[in-house]
Amino acid sequence: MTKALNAEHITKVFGGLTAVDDVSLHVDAKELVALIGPNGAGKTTFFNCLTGVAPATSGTVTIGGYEVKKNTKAYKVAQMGISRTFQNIRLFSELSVLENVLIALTNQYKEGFFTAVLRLPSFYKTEASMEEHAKRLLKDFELEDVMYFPAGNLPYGVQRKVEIVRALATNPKIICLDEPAAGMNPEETADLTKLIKKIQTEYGIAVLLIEHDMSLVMKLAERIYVLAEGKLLAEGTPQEIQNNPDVINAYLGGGANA
Amino acid sequence: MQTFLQQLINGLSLGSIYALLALGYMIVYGISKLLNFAHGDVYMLGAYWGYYTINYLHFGFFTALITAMIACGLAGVIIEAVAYRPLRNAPRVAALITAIGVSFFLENGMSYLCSSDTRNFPQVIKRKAFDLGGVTISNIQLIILVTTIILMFGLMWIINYTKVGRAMRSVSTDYDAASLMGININHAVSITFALGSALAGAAGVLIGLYYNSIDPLMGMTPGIKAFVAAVLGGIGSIPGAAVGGFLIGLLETGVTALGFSAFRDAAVYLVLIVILLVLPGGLFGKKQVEKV
Repeated sequence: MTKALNAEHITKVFGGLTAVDDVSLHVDAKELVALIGPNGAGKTTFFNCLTGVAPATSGTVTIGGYEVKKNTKAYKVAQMGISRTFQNIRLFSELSVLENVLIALTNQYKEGFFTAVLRLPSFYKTEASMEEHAKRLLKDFELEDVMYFPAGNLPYGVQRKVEIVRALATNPKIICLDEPAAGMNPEETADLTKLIKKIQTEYGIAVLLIEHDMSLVMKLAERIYVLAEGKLLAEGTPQEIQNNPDVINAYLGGGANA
Repeated sequence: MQTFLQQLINGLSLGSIYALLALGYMIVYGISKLLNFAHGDVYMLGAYWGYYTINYLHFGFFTALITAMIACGLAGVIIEAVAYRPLRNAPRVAALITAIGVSFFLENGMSYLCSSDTRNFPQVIKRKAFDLGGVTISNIQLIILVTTIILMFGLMWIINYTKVGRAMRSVSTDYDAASLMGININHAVSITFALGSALAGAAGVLIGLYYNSIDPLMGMTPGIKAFVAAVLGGIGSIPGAAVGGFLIGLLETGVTALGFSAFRDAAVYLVLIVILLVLPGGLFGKKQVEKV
């Protein structure tokens, strides 16, 4: 089966600092993988390399079997089937929830230039089916009540949810979640756990998850990668990672000889 | 009372021109966070387009208006692609200085090509004045008002109810997030420049018709006044820019009517200073709330 994501030897250098150092990682189709590591380990930088926001200095990224060529613009990378959320929520805060999702759907509902300018009947048909699609998604995630609210006015937990649904709406093969549980209370985290599981099982989309909440990670992830100081420290099942002495060291900050 | 009403009409006609310019300023600023100082010069290009097409190609008024909008829209797209796009991630001061450079280039380029003489704008529409109980309104003033209102609502419709508008709004809130949703940023920015510059082009033809004289430096002052109008209305608000434009127009004619015509520009700048001191967010602007 083709892998949803395959990243090989990703290195990202900022000036003299190597933020990500020769990291290779793959996510199979419909797999749920977590990427953990102490603060400043380079997890978010790694996400930026994958999504083309800050392309890697070297290494290759393959999405759904297609290699991302050098200098591909972020919007093209997104169209290849990778989508993400942000550590600090980045919704289009003045736009309504529905509009946020519609924007993510834009690329799947292309119209010819002339049908759009002349407003031919087929144009209205696409518009309508696009809106229907967005509403279906929002309904599925119980967001239909807030669909006309400006996204920025919603409670924090709901905004997170909207951001995930928006990422889902781009019809990705893999969705990258950057600390989705940050700042959530236990109840919200429980909801989130279900939501992530739902994306994987019902929508059949692979998930790559950055998270500090270990209970969430251990509950969800099928495999875990550990990143520390830009390097890949360990890889394995939750069980293996929990008992890995290197990982424990990295988290507890043990010295070289500890 | 009659004088007051008369000045109101005059002010609104002049104000429509500023409103059109301010709208263009605003949407361009909204998406690229760039004060496009060349905006006033695109308006000058629109006026010259009207001058040449009407005089030499014998275009009618509406053909001249629409072709001027298309031509200026293209000019805007080219200016953005050549001058601003390479600087998108550069410090904002660099882009600002480039904008001033583009403005000088257009002004002096036109002076070189078409001489810096003031020219008479061809009067394609015969001026007729209607008398409404002592207040006169000319057909040209009516055309200016009606065209402005149609264009303003057209712009609002595009921005609020079309897919392109939605993409534009998303890009103006967050470049990165929009591009990660698969939106082509360059397209959205080009379309915004095209729309803004098309409005400026329309304003150029309308002002030619109204004031009957054009020259290569005509865009400077109105450009700055449109900026004042946008600040007055509140940067970031489309209705604000329109209202700001009308208010500046009214203020200018009001000051002139009171006999201080030499000070009418000073009055506009005074408003800028007062607004920045008292209400920096403008009339309709968003309040900047800082979360700690």
